[in-house]
Amino acid sequence: MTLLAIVGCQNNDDGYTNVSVELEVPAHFPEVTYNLTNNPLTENGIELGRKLFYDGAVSSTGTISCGSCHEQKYAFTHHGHTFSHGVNDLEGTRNTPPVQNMAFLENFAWDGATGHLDLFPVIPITTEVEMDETLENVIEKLKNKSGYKKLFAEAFEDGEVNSENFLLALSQFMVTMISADAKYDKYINNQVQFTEVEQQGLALFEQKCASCHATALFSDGSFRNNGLQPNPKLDDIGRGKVTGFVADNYKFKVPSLRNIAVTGPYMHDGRFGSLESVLAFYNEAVVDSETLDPLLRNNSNLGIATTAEERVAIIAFLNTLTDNTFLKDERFSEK
Amino acid sequence: MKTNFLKSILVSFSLIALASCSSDDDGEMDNVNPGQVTLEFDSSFAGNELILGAANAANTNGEALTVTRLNYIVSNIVLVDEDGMEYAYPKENSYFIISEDSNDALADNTKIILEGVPAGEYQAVKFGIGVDKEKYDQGLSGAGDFWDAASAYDMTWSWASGYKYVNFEGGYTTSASGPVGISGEDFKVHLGRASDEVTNYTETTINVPAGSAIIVNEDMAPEVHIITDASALLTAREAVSLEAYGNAIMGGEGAVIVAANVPLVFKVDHVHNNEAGNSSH
Repeated sequence: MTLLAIVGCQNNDDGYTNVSVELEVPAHFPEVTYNLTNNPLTENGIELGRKLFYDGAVSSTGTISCGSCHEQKYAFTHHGHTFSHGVNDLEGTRNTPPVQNMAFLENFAWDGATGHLDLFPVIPITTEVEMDETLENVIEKLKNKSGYKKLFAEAFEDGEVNSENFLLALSQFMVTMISADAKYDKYINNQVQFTEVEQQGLALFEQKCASCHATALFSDGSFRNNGLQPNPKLDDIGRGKVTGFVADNYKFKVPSLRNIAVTGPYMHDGRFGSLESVLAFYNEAVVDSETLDPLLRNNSNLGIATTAEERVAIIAFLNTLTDNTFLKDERFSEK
Repeated sequence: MKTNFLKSILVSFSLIALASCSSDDDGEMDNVNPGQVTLEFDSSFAGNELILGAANAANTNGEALTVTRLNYIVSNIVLVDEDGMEYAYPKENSYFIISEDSNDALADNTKIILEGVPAGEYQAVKFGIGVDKEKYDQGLSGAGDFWDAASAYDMTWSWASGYKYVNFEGGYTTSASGPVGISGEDFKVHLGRASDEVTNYTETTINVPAGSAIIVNEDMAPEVHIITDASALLTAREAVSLEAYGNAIMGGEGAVIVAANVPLVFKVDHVHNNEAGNSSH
């Protein structure tokens, strides 16, 4: 081990060049949850992660990459798809969530199926209706694919093409995908003014929505049952499937609302085609059940009451969360 | 059970290599005349040998188990000496898969060899079962081959991505007098992290039998024989009926009860204080 350590410090022999990258964290954002000390960002690590994100080798058919369902211009969601299609056109049961601000999250996927970003890619890669592949096979394919040996050697000190470095590179790329340059952010930083209706929408949002859609991430990261009538064909119990506790049944992670205007359809199962439908649902269609979130229960009234005029204002505010800088940032694009 | 020597997968997190630029001089206890300690895990079932594929007597729930797999992760090993002083094996190298699996493609792992243990007379072994929150929170950093090895032994979850701490599988029948009379149902008990709040990671401390000790120095290579009672996973502290949980315990209350049983299933049966270079049995 000592010998290894000494060799490790004499870099460049094997092409490893460690150009550190400092993560720029917006001042109004919460603390970074991803441990950057364990997986320090480097130019080559991030670039390898980007390449892997857009490589179909992660799927059994070689055709489905992460980017297939996580399209940049829709904040890395699968636009127009209630459920995304994986290999052989198989269809999943959940709507593709955006890939953004991953450095700040505690749990990943609609049901919090994993609590660590490094482990997250294992889920879509191994899921039958997504990439239907094994991590071992992915690594074998990468070993045999031209260019990757060099890229891994340049990105990591030990240079190995293995599952550890594969997942660390993907994490490095995803950690850098920060969306924090929407009109809302400029407003917070006193760079622009809101229109009257946007201002009104913000006030309504803070009053009616922000207890769950909290912080600059617009999610408190908690799991809640928001009163959707379960789809009997799917009977997706959400968080309850992960933890095995009945008290978690039908709970899903509160989604971030950043770039919400471009990430439709909405809800974990993509049942609503518009933000109008979402707000109408909270106004009149919340269904009671044992695990319904207490915040949606006010005496005998369920849901979040809004007038038609208020809904227009809230949506005007939600539109200020669209971050065109992020949606077009070439650092995150397929090249 | 198989008693031939089977290579233990010593799957080490390679943090040392990653942290190679920092000095290791962090004021650890003096390591004079270090020796090697072998922990051997020997599975039993309620006092008898565990024979994979063979039916055992019914437990207190009236369920008679036939075990086909008993795999678990042993971690964070600490040796405690007669004065209560603790030697913690380096954390980055302290994750091991112990396995007995009826899948012949998977070699059984029954031994953990600890190298460079400071000389001393140790009275107890302390270890974790599973992956602690600190290690989980490190993600794949320094995981080396451990994730892949765990995956090969079916010790990872992919739908809820993380490690299985215990993978205990087989079939069972209820006793003839039982009310339902299920016969030949498969069962699966998979223990792992449910959430940050319910990690299901446990630790145990097991003493060596009175009058003995694990004697470590440069001339000695002691072997500690630990018995793992598979039956006690479902009975040690609180009885868990497989039937009551629909033959599958993978989370929820069932997993919490099994996790509370886990620390009680291990005991040190005996210690061989072998001279280095010799191995008894």
